[in-house]
Amino acid sequence: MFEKSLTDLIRGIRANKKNEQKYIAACLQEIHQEIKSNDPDIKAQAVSKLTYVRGIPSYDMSWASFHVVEVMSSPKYSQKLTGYLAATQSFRQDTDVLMLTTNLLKKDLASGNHLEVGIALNGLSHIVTPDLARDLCQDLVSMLSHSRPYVRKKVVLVLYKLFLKFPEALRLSFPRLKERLDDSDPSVVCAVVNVICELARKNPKNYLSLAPQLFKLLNTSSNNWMLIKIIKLFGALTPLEPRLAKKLLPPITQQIQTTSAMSLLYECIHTVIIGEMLTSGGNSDALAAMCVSKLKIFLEDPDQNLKYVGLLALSKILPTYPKLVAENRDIILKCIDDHDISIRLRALDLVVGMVNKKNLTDIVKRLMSHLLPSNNNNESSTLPSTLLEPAYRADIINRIIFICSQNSYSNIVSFEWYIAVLVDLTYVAGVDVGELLTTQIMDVGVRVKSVRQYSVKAMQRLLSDSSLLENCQFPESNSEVLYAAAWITGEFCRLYSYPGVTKLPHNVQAVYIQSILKVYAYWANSLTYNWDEDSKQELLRFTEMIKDKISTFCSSTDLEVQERAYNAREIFSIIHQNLSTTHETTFDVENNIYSSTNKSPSIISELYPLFFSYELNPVAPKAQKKVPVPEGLDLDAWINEPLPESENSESEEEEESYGYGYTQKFGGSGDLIFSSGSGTAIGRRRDRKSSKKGYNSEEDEETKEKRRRERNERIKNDPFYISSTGNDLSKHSKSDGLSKRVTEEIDVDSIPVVRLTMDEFIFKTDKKTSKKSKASKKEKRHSPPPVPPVIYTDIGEMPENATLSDEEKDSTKTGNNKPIWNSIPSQSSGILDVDFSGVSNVDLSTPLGADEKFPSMAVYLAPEEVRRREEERVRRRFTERRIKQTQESTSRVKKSKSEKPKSKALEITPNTKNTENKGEQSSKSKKVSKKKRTEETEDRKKKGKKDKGKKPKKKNSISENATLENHDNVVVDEAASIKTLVDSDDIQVLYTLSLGSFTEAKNEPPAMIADFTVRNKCSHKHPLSKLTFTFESTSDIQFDKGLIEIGELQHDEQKSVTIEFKVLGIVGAGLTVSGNIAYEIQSDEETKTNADIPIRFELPMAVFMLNIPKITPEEFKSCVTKTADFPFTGSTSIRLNASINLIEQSFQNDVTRLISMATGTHIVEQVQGAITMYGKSVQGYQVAGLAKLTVEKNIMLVENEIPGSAQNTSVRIELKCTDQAFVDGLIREIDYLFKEL
Amino acid sequence: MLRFFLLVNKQGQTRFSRYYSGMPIQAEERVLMEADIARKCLKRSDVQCSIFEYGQYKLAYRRYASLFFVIGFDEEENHLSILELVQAYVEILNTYFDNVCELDIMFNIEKVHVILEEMVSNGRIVETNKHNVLAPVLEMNKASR
Repeated sequence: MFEKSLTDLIRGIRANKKNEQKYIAACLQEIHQEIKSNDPDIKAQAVSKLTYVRGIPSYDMSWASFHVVEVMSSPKYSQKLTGYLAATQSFRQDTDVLMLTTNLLKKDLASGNHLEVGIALNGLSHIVTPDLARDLCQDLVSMLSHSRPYVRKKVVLVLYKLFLKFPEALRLSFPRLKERLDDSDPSVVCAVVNVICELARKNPKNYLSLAPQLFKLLNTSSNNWMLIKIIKLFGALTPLEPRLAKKLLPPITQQIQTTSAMSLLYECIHTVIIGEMLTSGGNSDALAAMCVSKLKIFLEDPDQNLKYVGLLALSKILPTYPKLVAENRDIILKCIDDHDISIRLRALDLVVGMVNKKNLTDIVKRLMSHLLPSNNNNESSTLPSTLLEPAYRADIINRIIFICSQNSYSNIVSFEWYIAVLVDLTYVAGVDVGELLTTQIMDVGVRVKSVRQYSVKAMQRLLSDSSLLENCQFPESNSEVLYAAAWITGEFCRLYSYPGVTKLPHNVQAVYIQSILKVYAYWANSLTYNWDEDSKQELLRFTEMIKDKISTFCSSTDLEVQERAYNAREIFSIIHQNLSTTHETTFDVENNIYSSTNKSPSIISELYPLFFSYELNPVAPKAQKKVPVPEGLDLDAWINEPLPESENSESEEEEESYGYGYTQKFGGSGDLIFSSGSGTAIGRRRDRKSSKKGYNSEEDEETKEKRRRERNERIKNDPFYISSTGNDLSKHSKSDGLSKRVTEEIDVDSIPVVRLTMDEFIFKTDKKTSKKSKASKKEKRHSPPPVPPVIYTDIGEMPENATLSDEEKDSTKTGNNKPIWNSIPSQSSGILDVDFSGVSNVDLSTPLGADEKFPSMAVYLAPEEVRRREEERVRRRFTERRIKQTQESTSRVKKSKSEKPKSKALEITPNTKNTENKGEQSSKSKKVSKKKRTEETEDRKKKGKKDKGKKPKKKNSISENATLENHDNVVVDEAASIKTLVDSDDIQVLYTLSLGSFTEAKNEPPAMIADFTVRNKCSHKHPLSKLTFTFESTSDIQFDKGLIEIGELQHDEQKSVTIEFKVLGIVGAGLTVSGNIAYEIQSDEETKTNADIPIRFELPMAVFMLNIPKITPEEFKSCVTKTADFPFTGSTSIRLNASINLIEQSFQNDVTRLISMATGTHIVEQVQGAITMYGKSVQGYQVAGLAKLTVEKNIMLVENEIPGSAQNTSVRIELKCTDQAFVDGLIREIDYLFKEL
Repeated sequence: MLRFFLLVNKQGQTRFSRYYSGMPIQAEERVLMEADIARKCLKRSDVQCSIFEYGQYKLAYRRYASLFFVIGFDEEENHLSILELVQAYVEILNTYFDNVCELDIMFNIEKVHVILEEMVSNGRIVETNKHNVLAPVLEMNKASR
């Protein structure tokens, strides 16, 4: 046809390189049309094209989700593959059509084709949602014992994904998953190890019990990929179980020494390090040395990748064995200069850890050299451009500061040097690290008294550096450092002038202004010590000057700067005024009081304590914790009594008016209210109720009324205020005071608001600061402090009443935790992250409770599923009715014939009779016939058991007497035939299967009965005790009671048990029941042997067949011609090896008998070389069959003249049925049966 | 855990991508990321190691002719085994397509997906044996016909 194939599309895209977008857009148009096509081929092709186009970025295909599902459900294998692939690429967790896939997946998972199952599993692992996981987990778990290793492997892998989405499944299925560790297929074992490894990483505790099995695998397996996983898994387990480490050391050591695979070697070393094996093992030092020496080989290898991972591993070993790492310092430092940035960064990680007092300066110098633009040309040419990458530069600067400042600057010998480094960094950084440098400079300045002088000097240099000011609009220039510079100079007082500051960022400006004040205060104060006219004049002049300068900032756009500037200017003008007035007075009375009043005006000395009363010191790290709880403060008590419930139920309208009322009050009445934290809030709320009366009485009724009117006027046009009617008022007026506020007529004035007096407030805050802040070491500084010899105070400030004795422990604890350089930014939620929280919370240590079961099928059904079921139901009702009619007519026919068969097959009389009975009764009532049938089954069972010995003989007799009439009997009898389940030295178990009782309601799952006969055939004549049968309910088969206890069984004793179960799943090929038989053999007084034998048997299709009366060929014909009733077909052919003469006979006797036995049908008509069959199953499925004998001449054999078997004969069997799975199952059984023969 | 598997050519076009997180990221984000990764890979020289950090993930890449095979993975994964995986994958593609080239991958994108699916599931390396990987793929081919 004319549709483009995928190949055409790709060719087209390649041919239209210039207007690719246009071409794709046109193709998308086509796809839109094609995807809606009814032809599945065109649809699939469209989806496949769409998937490809989606591969080219930026083409969304979510609109096609439904069509993808359609293609997924295609019966064609290749289309299914396309559909699933599209689904995995395009579906998201919230794709709504995922809901429709549940049944599709169920069907595909149950498919007989393992490849189809494979695609479904692959697809599921991508699209699984919590809902899908819940609905499918049972199916998947039962598939763990699938016959194909390929499927088992895939199921194991999908289960992991399932656990993530539906953590409950982990507990339920873990026992089964664990069993797979002993799987015969290595790839399945590998998959299980994979899954457990992932699970254990999230919550290792659960998997400790698997250690022995894993250990065995570690010693026996030669698959490097799996060994890596196992070793990784042990790495997660050993921290929990230190003894394990000892056990692991020999095999891991051996691996390290012998393996040639670098990845395995790396994994071993890595695990040794992170698994804490070095700390627990005996000769751990030797092992560590070996690891490091191996890693050294990595580092020296020309392969950059090995170098990289080697450094990575070394950085892990660094915290425990810094010495060993330090031995390789030269190599590591060489790596710092490597061409590759990632190697460099990893080497830097190590360097950060290796720093000590001695080598700090050297290392920092080395790092700094990376920042400097390289001088010699030959070096710059070899260096990659990444050297100048801002991220890299920022990283280096961060590291420099980190290694210097770690452990409260313990590595730094000279702080002058450090300040110099910081200043240098300001210039060379080239990236925006101003904030970091600023805090560092300030921190050092505050902490280290001895360096203050130096730093002030350095800061002055910075301040006066015009280049910084010029470039301040670029963030790279780090002009922010001036913040620190100004602050330091201000705080530690050396005077300097600041030209051209106006261009600086606002926050820096603000600090400048504040610092000017400080510096000024300090300088003015120092003047007061030898106050004279000169100093006064100078002060006056200078004040004037600053005042002028500061006026520029008064018009700043930044609020903060503006306010500070105004503040400062006011202070300066006050001083100026003050000075000039004192000047006059002193001038007047100069002679009199010159000697006595040689004193500065008080305003100057008062300015000083405003800024310098307390020295600013660092706060001790634990200070906050040490704040004693003041008496009478109960942190657990309610601050606000929780509001009464009734309020919650009220509408938002109320909330709004509530808020409104308050603001009205605040704004309108002009009360001065401090809302400072919770303190006032308490008062406000509490008093609202209690002091209502008191407050009311203060106001007279008149003013109240007046305000109310004003308020009404105001809110009339307020869009946020919903006016209410009088009804509301009356409704609410009865309720309590709170709800009163709802109405418009609310008495706002009556809402009491606590008034806080100013002094109370001050008192409170004062108290607070005295307790919390850094005021403990009050040190009034009236004179400039001499530079003390102390370098820095390590403890920092502590609050008053701090208890120093306790909690020191935890401070030492944290002290041990050396700050670790975070080489990789903390992994917060990334776009690709997966949520593991569910799985890691699952606890596997407790046994499964009785109430923990796999969830049953979803509550919801997809619409199409509902429709399907409905159709099925209707169809069944139709067929039922038709069968009934057929039965009536058959029985009429039969009655006349009924004498004949009775006499012929004597041994099976009971059955025949029953059939006849049934035939007669069915005409009367179907219900009765069913009851009968149950009885009949019971009969048969008994008979089967008793006549076990006679069986072969009977078979013969049947085949001898095989006639058309009694075939149906044979069929039934064979279906219920006894089969051997277990035959061991101790025990023999035989079983028969039969249909259980069923009710009229046809959509109920068919019930089956299995009878077991257990015989103790223990050779030593020991009794068997505690004999129990356990059966596992699966998605297909449900046991009401999965456990049967038989108890003791003496030698040669025989007991029989019956178990009933329901078949829930699709009745098709491969329905199996599995379980165990457990028993104990008491061979003598002492020794007991426990045995646990797994049992497993298939449910043959024939068991589901009803024992219906024979239909006539005419009825058969009319039934089959309506092909619409038998939409599903299946066919097979069987080769016969019988000699030419006997072929016809054997076909007539054995083959037909076997076929009808396998299918549970009866033979309708038999002609030369062909038979027709018909049967009906308990679910109402009808089966019509045709078997034809074909004889072909085999030329080859004729030439060779071998007589007799010169013909290739086969029987072609075609079945038609009303159910696909059922007919597939029947065909399979026929094949199986004849293969056996 | 593997986060994604990309095939980008020298022009920075994504030829193949597979993401292993429950939630496929937004198309725009994906495009930007893939382009960025391609750029980063192209920038690297032969003397540099083929593992580097990318955001919170690590990237390992190998270059075969004009194609970059890039894998994004978590820190916890064995870095070297990721590189070995790439090698194994390319070898298998080479066997399957008989001297694989970029066009093979473009025209047989489904097969490339299927092969990778056999090797990596849920972002875990599950199978690296050439025979084990190819057997089901070949079987599928037979079944499709």
